[in-house]
Amino acid sequence: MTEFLILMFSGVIVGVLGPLLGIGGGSIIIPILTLYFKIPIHTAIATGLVTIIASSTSAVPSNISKGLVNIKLGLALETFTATCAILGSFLTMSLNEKIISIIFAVVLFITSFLYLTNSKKDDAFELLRKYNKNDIKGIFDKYYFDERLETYVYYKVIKLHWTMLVSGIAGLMSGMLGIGGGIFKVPAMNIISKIPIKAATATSNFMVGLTASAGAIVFFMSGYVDVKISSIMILGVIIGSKLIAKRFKKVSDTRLKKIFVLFLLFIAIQMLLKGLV
Amino acid sequence: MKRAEKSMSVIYRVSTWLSLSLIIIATIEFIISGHTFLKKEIKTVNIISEMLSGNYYATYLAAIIILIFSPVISLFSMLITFILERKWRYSLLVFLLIVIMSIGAFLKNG
Repeated sequence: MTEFLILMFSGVIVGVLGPLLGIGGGSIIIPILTLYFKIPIHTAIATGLVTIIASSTSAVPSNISKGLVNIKLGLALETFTATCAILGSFLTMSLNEKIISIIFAVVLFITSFLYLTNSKKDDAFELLRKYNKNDIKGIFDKYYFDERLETYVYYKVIKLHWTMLVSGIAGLMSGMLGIGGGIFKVPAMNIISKIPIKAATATSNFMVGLTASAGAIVFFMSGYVDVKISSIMILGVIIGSKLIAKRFKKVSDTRLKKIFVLFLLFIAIQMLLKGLV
Repeated sequence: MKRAEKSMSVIYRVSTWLSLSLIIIATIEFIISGHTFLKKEIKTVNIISEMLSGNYYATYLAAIIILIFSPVISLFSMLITFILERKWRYSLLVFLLIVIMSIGAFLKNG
């Protein structure tokens, strides 16, 4: 019963954090499955991927209906990130994993610092003063309904080439270290391309679902998915994203950024320990 | 784009609720059967017949299969929508993404 509750609870955490922060949640699930349940790493990764898909598929429809998912941008970025992730998986063979982990941690600490200096800005509120319906002309420009401000927010995607470059590096690193790129894609979209944090996290959540699916199918066909654990976690994820995530609908952009910084620091410390120990 | 978004949204909603329902049904079957979780070798083609005969393991398996294939199905549905709308640039982008993801998946397996 305790095991059931732990699995269910970790599913709920992923169900809440996935749509909220635009991350997959592998960094939460895999350590729990390998360290606490002593599950082999391949089975843990496969089970984690199934959970990530559950988190994405349950959140994407409501985000689409609110206009938060920028599908055009998601598809364009994903093509570039996925290509770089493949290159990254080859580079792993020639580079020292400990050094990559330390570099990864340093990059995350810098990103956290950038977010901290930027966290006082409310994206939606600033965009309301900056753009209106007539400014939305670019191929990736979009609008969404902000439930907290109870109005439509229009945004323009700027410096996309830089975001693509950072997403490419994120793909390269995720290919090398086997983690999702959500923690890099969201800051790149938000800080560089000035996409509001809510739209950036929703787009990233849509992208991680696609990435996880490709991997999960292969792992499933190889027999690595643990049906029992996956099912319990899926239950938790759906409960988390459908019931609990509704409470976060009206969370402000500044608060969302602060939660994101805490998560970035958590991953950065994990990576630093991996590199040093 | 609206049609593509709608098709994707419908696929995701259906797959989420279908897998959730199957997991709940399987859990009820599991509780009734006496709390023994035995992994059985089931061929994919036999899943439906096994499910109907009350094999909860097959029901769990079906729920997971539906879930993990839904993003790929949604990509194909987007590809079809873009082709029907003659939006060749987006069709090419989605096709390219499917190809890259397939290459990546099979390389991971290797």
